[in-house]
Amino acid sequence: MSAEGEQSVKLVSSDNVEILTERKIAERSMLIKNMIEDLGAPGEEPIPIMNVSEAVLRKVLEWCTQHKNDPAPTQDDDADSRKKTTDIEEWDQKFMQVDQEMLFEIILAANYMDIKALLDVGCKTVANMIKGKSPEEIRKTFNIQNDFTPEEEEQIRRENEWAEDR
Amino acid sequence: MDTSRLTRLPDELLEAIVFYLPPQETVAFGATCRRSNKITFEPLVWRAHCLQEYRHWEARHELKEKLTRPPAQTKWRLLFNERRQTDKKALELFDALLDTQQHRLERMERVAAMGYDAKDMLLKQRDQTPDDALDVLARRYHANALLGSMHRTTALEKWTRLQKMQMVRLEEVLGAYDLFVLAGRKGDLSDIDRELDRVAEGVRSQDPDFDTWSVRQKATEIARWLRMQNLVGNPSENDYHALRNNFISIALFDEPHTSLPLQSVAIYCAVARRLGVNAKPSNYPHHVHAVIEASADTTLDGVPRPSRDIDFSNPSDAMHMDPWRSSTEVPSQQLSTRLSQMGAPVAQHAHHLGPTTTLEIALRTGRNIMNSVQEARDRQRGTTARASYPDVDAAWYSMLWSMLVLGDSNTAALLHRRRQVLPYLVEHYQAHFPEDLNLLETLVVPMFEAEREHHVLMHLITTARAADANKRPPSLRPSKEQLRAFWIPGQGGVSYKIGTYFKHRRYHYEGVVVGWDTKCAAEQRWIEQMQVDQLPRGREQPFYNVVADDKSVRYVAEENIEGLAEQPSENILALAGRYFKRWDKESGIFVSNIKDEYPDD
Repeated sequence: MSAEGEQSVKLVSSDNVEILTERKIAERSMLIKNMIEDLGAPGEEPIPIMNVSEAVLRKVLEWCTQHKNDPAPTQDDDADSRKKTTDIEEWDQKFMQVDQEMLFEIILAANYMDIKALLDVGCKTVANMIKGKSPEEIRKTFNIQNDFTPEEEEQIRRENEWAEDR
Repeated sequence: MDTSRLTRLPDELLEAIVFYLPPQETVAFGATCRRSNKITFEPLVWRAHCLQEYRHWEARHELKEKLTRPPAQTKWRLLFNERRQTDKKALELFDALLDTQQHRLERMERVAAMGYDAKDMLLKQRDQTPDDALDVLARRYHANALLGSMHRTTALEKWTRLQKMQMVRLEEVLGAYDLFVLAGRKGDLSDIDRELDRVAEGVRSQDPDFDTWSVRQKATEIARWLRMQNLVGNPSENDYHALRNNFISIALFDEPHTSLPLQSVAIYCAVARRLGVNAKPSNYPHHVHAVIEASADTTLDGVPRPSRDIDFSNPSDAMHMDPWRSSTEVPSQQLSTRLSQMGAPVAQHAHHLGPTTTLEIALRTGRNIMNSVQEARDRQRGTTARASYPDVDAAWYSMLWSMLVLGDSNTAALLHRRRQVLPYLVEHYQAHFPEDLNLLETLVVPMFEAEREHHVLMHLITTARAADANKRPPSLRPSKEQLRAFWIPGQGGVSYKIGTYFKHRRYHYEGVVVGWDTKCAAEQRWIEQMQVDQLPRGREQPFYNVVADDKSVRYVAEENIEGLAEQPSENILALAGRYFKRWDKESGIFVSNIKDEYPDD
């Protein structure tokens, strides 16, 4: 039997476009991996990816192709005290240079398709966009409406006095 | 209507993003709108910040207990804020104490009083101050000194508890010695605990049924595992007395993990206790074993036993292990035979085969350290190279303190020993650990209440406090006019500056100038003893206070100073931080941090 990974699978996007890809690439998504295991006969039946449009799905598969040989993530038992790093490898950084619309679509798709590593990269990218900014600058970057009352805002300012100077 | 793609994400994804934000930005993000505000108040977010920003916590926070409870039961955000404030305060005090010698001791004590809440800040100062920081040496030196003082405070707390017969664990009592030599290394009591937990978990995970095994099976398996991991024993018999072998944390964390039998047994007992096995160091003469007791209702092999006291010579009640040497049980019969050969009466065998007290183990470690230090000093005599870790002076100091704090229940004998130790301790404190004034005041003074030493100690403390509170009188260099007036051929005032790195012309040791007098200001007796008047330039030449590379403080005639411009040795660089900000490569001199005393240098 030829290597399982080289089998191809057929994915269907939310806007009903069929995309053919390698099983190994598609199985970076735990959602797809589980579905293939449930279906039993890969390649024959198309797999619907209901919440993801063609453009986003192609983008996600591009990432999966690049990372298809990554080792499985190791269980980290000390996740709490591990210093969280927002370092992103170079290829991923380039990959994430997209408009905000696409960035958040990728995050939602990674979450829905259960691709932990891609979700992490997405979250880190957003976190890096927030870093070093004041609340006003963050609002501007992400088009966030300030819905606090003046009283609430005053209270928040008081609570956060410690954070004002380093 | 919310137009932001970001705040339209579901809670779980917003949370995932917030988890990657540092505390500062978490707050900034929370201040943007109600939705983000709500997310940044998740207790898990601040719990993570607490754990990631701060590794060390004062015991009063009960952090370990808090972590076992559901996150929402702890006000993590408040805790984080409080800790942040403490951190800021500690750093302010630290910066201020580097600035001037006046009130330095007082400020150091205030930082030390924050205890482990200041440890992360100090570790950062010690390990992460960049090489090109303007006061790099002072920063590292004082952070290190403060860490030491803080560790010693903890160690002495543990010993004081032991002396008062309060609950304290064997590994804490032994780890207290490590706290004296630790400085910024891994091996604090919490590190030791964590490592022992990890090792115990390693043993347990070998077999899913481990917890159902008999005590005897468990006891053997623990020894096998520890020896397999090289955590106990010492394959190189030559280095039996090496100083490092006295320290439990070095055995646990540093390759090649060697230790004395006593430390090996302590590790064994600590791991055993974590696995429900009651093991203690034995009273056996000359070589410590671990003695393992049957549980209250079953024998070592799991057979029900009548409830009665443990009989330490009965093989179904108690067994002996020698993890330092082997992973198999030592038959009681063999131990008894050897006792008889040593001449121990049969009636005393049960006593020797039984467990000893933690106090006895602590005192024994003190004696072992004394031997190891003496051996290390003999070996070092004549060579300038010093093994850097563990530091011999720090180890010696730990032994002195243990002899002072721990000991006999017989008051007269205790006082007698304390009297013997006191002068050595005071000398060592003055030479190497002036930051321990507070420990002297709170722990030692009460020991000599109503004794003749009390007065001397009080005088010493008052003098040190006064010196700290007062501004140092400045030593000004003579002006050009003054020099001309007193001109003597061959003498151009004080030639060397504070911070000069030099070699002694006659004795060849290296050192650094930390003070000067325009002429020899020592007592007449010293001048005669040192034959100062036999020197070509006699007593009328400038004399220098110097710190030598063996840590000693000396007083040297100008004609014996030979200035060096090369990069000073590591030893000198580490010591220099007490007086200097940094080494200036271009001008080949240390930059003074004692300008208040020598404003012209």
